[in-house]
Amino acid sequence: MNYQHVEILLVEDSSADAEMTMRTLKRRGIANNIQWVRDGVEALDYLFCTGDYADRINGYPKMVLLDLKMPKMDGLQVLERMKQDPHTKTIPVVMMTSSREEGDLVASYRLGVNSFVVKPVDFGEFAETVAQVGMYWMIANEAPD
Amino acid sequence: MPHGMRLDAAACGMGRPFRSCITDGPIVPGVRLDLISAASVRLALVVAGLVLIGWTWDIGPLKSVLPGFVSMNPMTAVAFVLAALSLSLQSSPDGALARTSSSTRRKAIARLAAGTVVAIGLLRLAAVAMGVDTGVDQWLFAGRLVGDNPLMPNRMAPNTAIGLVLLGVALATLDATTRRGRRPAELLSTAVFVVSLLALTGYAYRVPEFTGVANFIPMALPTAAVFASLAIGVFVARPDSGMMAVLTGPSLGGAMARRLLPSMVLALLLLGWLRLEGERQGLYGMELGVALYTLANIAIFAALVGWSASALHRAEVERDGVAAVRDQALALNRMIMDNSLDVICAIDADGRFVKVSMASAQLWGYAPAELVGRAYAELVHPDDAIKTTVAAEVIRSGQPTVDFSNRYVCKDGRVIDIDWSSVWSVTDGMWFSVARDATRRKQTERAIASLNAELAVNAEQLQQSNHELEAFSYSISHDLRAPLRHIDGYARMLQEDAGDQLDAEMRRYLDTISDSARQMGALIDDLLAFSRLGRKAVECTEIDMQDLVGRVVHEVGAEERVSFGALPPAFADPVLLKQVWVNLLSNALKYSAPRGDGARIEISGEHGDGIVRYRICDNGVGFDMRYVDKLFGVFQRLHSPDEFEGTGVGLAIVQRIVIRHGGTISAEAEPGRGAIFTFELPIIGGQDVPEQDIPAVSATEASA
Repeated sequence: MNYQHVEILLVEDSSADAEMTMRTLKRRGIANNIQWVRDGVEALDYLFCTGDYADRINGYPKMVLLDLKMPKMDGLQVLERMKQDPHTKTIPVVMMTSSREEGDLVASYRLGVNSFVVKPVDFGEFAETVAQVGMYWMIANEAPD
Repeated sequence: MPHGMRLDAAACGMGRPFRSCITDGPIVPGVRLDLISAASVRLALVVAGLVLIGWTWDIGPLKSVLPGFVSMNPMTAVAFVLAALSLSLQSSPDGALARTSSSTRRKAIARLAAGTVVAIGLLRLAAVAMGVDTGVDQWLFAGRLVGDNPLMPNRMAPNTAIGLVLLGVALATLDATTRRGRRPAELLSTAVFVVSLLALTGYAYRVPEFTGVANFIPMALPTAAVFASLAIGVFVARPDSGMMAVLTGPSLGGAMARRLLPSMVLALLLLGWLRLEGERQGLYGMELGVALYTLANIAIFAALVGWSASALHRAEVERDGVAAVRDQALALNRMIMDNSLDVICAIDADGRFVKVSMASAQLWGYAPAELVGRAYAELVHPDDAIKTTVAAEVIRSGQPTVDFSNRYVCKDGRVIDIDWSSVWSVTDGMWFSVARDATRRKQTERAIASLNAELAVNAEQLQQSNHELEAFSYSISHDLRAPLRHIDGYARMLQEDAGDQLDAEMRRYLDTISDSARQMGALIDDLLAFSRLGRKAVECTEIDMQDLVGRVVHEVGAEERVSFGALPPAFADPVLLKQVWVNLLSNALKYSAPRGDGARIEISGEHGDGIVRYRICDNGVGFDMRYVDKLFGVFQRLHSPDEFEGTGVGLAIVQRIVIRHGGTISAEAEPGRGAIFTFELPIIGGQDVPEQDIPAVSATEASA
């Protein structure tokens, strides 16, 4: 049973991307406690304490990094559910995707995404982008309690 | 429907006969005969009225016109009033008396009046011939009749009585016609006229035998005049039948009679009077008188005959001309009716064929003779019956159609499409229609429709493959970039975590891994940009090219190296054209970079024949013209990445944009001297060239 407060929920089907992201966030000292889930269904289970996470009692994460294209349930569906529920509505969601598709971008903003970020191929740029996003939402931004 | 159809229809007997052309010959004056009748009525009423006033107050001139002459008997005056009343009642309905009573009642009164006139005449005749004197002519003003003329008490003259009988019968039988079409009224009124003419001649020539009968009192002068007037009035009262029909009709006989009769009567009367008066005055003897009279007669008759002959000749020539025109029209009409490929037909108000042209045999299988008298509706396909009826009524209301079509069932049972052109003629009460075989047109329409359907299917397929292509490029961009990111990411992570344990060579390996991954990322990005280009619609507007180039040069920060003069405007998509200039300029900058500060780029433009042409020259490394055809291929490069960076997509994008505007692009170069790129755009309407028209320059070809 984990009582430690989770700072960031990372929803990412690619373990490589997840590893690179978590490494960057930890190395830059932005967040130490990161919960990584592999798809949308697991993300909703975690957020609403259902399924494998029914016994979870450590509250809501401070932000969600959400991959767009995932098996089972994609990022847009997760986003939609989160923004419909009053408990998860206020959690900042940053959409992370591999490509800048106009349709995805527009759909995400319609559903109330807080940021939309294209993952660069260059690792240096990638790390920089992840760091900036984390810095902004975790440190610079003031969120309601 | 051509206007000529009216003439054709008339000429072939479907319309009215050619009456109007002949009626207005050179002979008939526009005389209103009903006015003559009315005038005669008025004259009779006035004279009779004056005579009665004359008797009432014993005013001599009113009774006899000239002193010493016989006065009109008052009963004669009454008879004239009655006769005038009768004629007036039987004249055209706009007569003054006619307005108040109905037609039959009017008729009855007219007959009664006429009968009274006859009765008055007969009563007087009975006294003269059989001695049964009722004294009808002495019922009025009995006291004054005797004193009027001391020599001869005023009584009604026998010839006056005869005239009254004739006039009365004529009025009573005004509308009677014999089986042969003769009208007794005409004969009777002519007789009345002769009676009055006798008396008038007697007065003019001073021949007492003419004015009276035996020793009886003669007919009074006003009586004779009124008789003449009423005789004419009765004669012309029915101009459409009997002799009057001939006289007023269009025939040459009528024309001749109209011309000769009055002239002859007047001329002879005048000549006779002149001869007689001359002799009486002692101007010449009887022999000279007769000679003069005869010569004058010959001259006048010769003149009359000559006058009539020339008029008749003119009329006949004219009539022949009209006939010739009519014959021509008939011949033309027959030719059209026999040879027209379309069916020309006339259909009466009941919807029956009146006339059908020969083409019906070919078109419908029915000969014209089989169709005449049949209802056209029998031939119309049952499904089109209602719309055909509706269309026919619409046309009848005065709206000609030119695009009505329906189906007809032919004699052999085939159903064919017919195009109609139709018009309703109010004067003929018929539809004049032209029917054309529309089978071929319908076939063509059906062929076009099926081609259109095929095209729609093709378009749908094309759209489908476009969608697939889109999905494909999406997955390329997404799925291919992720592993590349991982390759670069893990190589870097390795370098970060274990960099100090690796020697320079191993670190170079890691760098190469990262560079390659990034290079492939760039290739994918460019490829996606190129494929998106195909999906973007070209939206053309007028572009100020000079301004656009100026902005692009500024954006890439190459003001010192680039020079350009006046550039003609273009009609193109501004976003895409900007891409063209960015790519061409980047290209020129890249390949002239080795010259350092000596690098020069010149941009120029000009109008050509229906096109605008733009040129960009650089003094860079150029290329070998042997490979010019590979220049615009996707991923095609004429230099190694070690010499110049790049993915080989920039020029492919340029070419694709130019071709989508309906333009062309070409390049010339010399290694070491520089390169010139030239592209042309059409001046009016940069048409959006469909994607499949672009020459295939595929990645596979490029990689070969």
